[in-house]
Order: sequence, then C-alpha cells, then structure tokens
Amino acid sequence: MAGKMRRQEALDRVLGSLLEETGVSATVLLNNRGQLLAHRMPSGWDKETVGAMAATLGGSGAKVAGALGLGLSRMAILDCERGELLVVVFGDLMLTAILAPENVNLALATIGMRRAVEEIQAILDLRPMDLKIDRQQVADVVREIRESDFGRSILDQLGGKG
Amino acid sequence: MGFQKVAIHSFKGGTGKSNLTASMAAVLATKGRRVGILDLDLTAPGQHEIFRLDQGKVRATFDDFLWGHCAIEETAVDVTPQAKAKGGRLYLVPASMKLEDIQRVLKRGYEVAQFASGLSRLEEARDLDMLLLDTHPGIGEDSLLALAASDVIYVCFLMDRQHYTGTAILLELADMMGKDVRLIVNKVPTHYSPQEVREKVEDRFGRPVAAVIPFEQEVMATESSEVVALTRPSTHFSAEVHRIVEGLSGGKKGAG
Repeated sequence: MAGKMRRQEALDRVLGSLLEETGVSATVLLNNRGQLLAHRMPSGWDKETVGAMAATLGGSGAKVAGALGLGLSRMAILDCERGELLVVVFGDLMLTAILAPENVNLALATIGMRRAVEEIQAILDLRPMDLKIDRQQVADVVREIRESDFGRSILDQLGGKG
Repeated sequence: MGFQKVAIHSFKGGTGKSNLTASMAAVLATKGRRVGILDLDLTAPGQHEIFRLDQGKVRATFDDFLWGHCAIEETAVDVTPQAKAKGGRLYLVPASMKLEDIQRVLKRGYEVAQFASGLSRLEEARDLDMLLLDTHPGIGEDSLLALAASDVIYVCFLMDRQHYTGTAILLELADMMGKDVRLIVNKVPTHYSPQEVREKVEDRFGRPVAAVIPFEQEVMATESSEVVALTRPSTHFSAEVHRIVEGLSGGKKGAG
C-alpha cells in the first residue's frame, strides 16, 4: 500500500514538473482503455473527458500507423486554433499534454514529455532489455551436438562444414 | 533461383511460429507463388487449426507418408480457398493428431532419407516455388534435420530470458550448417521501442533481424483460428509479415 502511494506521488510529481518546466497547461497519464493513472490540470476541467479524448486520438494514431506499415506510433499532435494537443504513446500508456496558444513551444514540450515518459517508465518498473546470453553454455551445447553421431552425419551430408 | 525451403524455428515453444508460418505462406501465395506448408511439429501439430481443416476429413497426413502408408503428394491439401490467397496456390501437409502416431514419432523418430525424398517429391508433384517448414521447437534431432534441409532459417524468439541462450545455440548450429539465418522477435512488450529492440538484438546476437513484432491483443484474440496477415491487414503483425516476405527473394519466379 505504501509502495502504491509512493508510486502515485512520484507520478504526480513527474506531471507537476512537466507543467512547471515546459509551459504545458494540462497533462494526463492514462492507459489505452482510457483509465487515468495521474493528471494535473486547471480547476474546472473534466479530467475524464480530457482522458477519453486523448485515448481516442492516441488509439486512432496507433491504428493508422499500423495500417500504413509505419510501425508503432510514438506521438500524435493535434494542431488547433487555440492551442495544441500532444499524445505520446508508450506501450499500453499515453501521456497527454495540452498547450495554450500563449505557451506554445512544441520543441520544449516534446523534450519535456519524452523525459517525463522515461521517468514514468522507471517509476512503473518497466524494465530495460536484458538479452543475457550464457556464451559458455552455447559453446558447450554446440560442441556436444557437433561431436554426436547425429551431428556428424548431418554435417557430412552438408559437405563437412564446421 | 530454384525451389526454396524455409524453416521457421525456435528454441522454445509459444513463440508464434505456426501463425507466422501460415501468414508468411499465405502472403507469398497472394503474390502468385505456389507455396507449401509442412507441419513438422509432429508431437504437437497446429497448422490444421489455423486453416480450419477438419482432421476427420484429412485423407492422409505427413505421419502416414513417413510410415510408408501413402505418397507425399496424397498428404498435400489445397488450402488456397481457406486462406483466401488469390493469385497463387497454397498447400498444407498436416501432421497427425492421433495419439498412436504422436507416440510413434516420440519413440522411433523417422528416417532421414525418407524425409529428404519426401520434400523433393512434394516440390515436383505440386510444382512448388517454396516450402515452409513449421518445425518442432528445440535442438532435438528432428529439429536439426529440418534446419539442415532448409535454405533459409527464421529463428523466432520472445523477449524472455528462457529464450536467449537457446536462440544463440540455434544460431551457432545454423552457421555451422552454412545456412542463411534471420531473427524474428515476436510478441514484444509494447513499452519497448521496436527500433531499439532491433538494434540491441542485432548487436547481441550478431545476426540480421527480419522483424520485430509487438504484442497485439487483436492477434491473440484470433486464437490461431485464422491467417492473420490476410484477415487483419491493419495489424502490426500483418505489416511485419509482409516485410519478412519481401526479404525472401527466392523461389522459381524470383522476388514477388
């Protein structure tokens, strides 16, 4: 329970920093089913509505990217008359930021969001790749197969390679 | 370029090998190729499920050929309509689901010469451009035999520690046999960047990565009851299968 609280506090802190450092007006962290993990936004805003809209935009972007063979979508940007909506997709999660026109600095917001995503991944313990190979075991097993009757007969048939 | 035999293999089971094989073959057939699939996972066959073949109506299986009960061409079922693979031809040689056949393979294995002659005869009888071998996972004799018989080997694995050392063993064995070998990383957790996965895997394993396929709920939800690359063209799985197939330049008719 304490760990969960600390995790929630840490997520809130990351979103708070994003607001303070990049001029973002509101930010929401949600999963691809539209459920909110954390948010920071001005009073009077409906976090559920913002979250649902962002999930729709992020989900549509992912579908379009898939259909066009462009790989996983990383960011969707909605350039509007009175501001910008940014959705960064990472795995099952989306981080959304809304920028008011007077604060629009897309480059700064993008960098801030990417940094926030890295911090969120660390908080949620989304581990980096391991890819650990036991090279000694590889060598031992390959040697064993090569020296077996079956291995020798296969290599003989293939022209004595190895 | 002549007839090409392509093995889709893995060290562990559950890597999505059979679905990849079915989809690769079907996409090749839509490009006008004459393609065969041989279900070599004789102790746990599955291709018949993907193509929704009624096992009760299958006249003969690969097991029947191995035990000398029929000619190989009698085992090849034309599944072009099931796969909706217009343009080319798609044949499936299913394996037997009968317990006695599975136990017989486990106990006795099968003859190398019989296996090799079957592949050649199948090519001739159905005028195949390509034969895709859906192998039995691991480093057992039957698996090595399938790899030795192939021209190109795709080794599939998951981002899971149980797969890494075994995959490296397979790559060494394929090198020892002088084979063209490529990697497919399947069901990748979606918080990883596919590009980063590709770079790290190529660096760690020292072999080209043909595809990095993210985990997709939509693909899992098919329960292996359809040829995903054709039925769900907007999935990443489908896009990656097309990319893999484009890298296969062989076959009698050249690049598709």
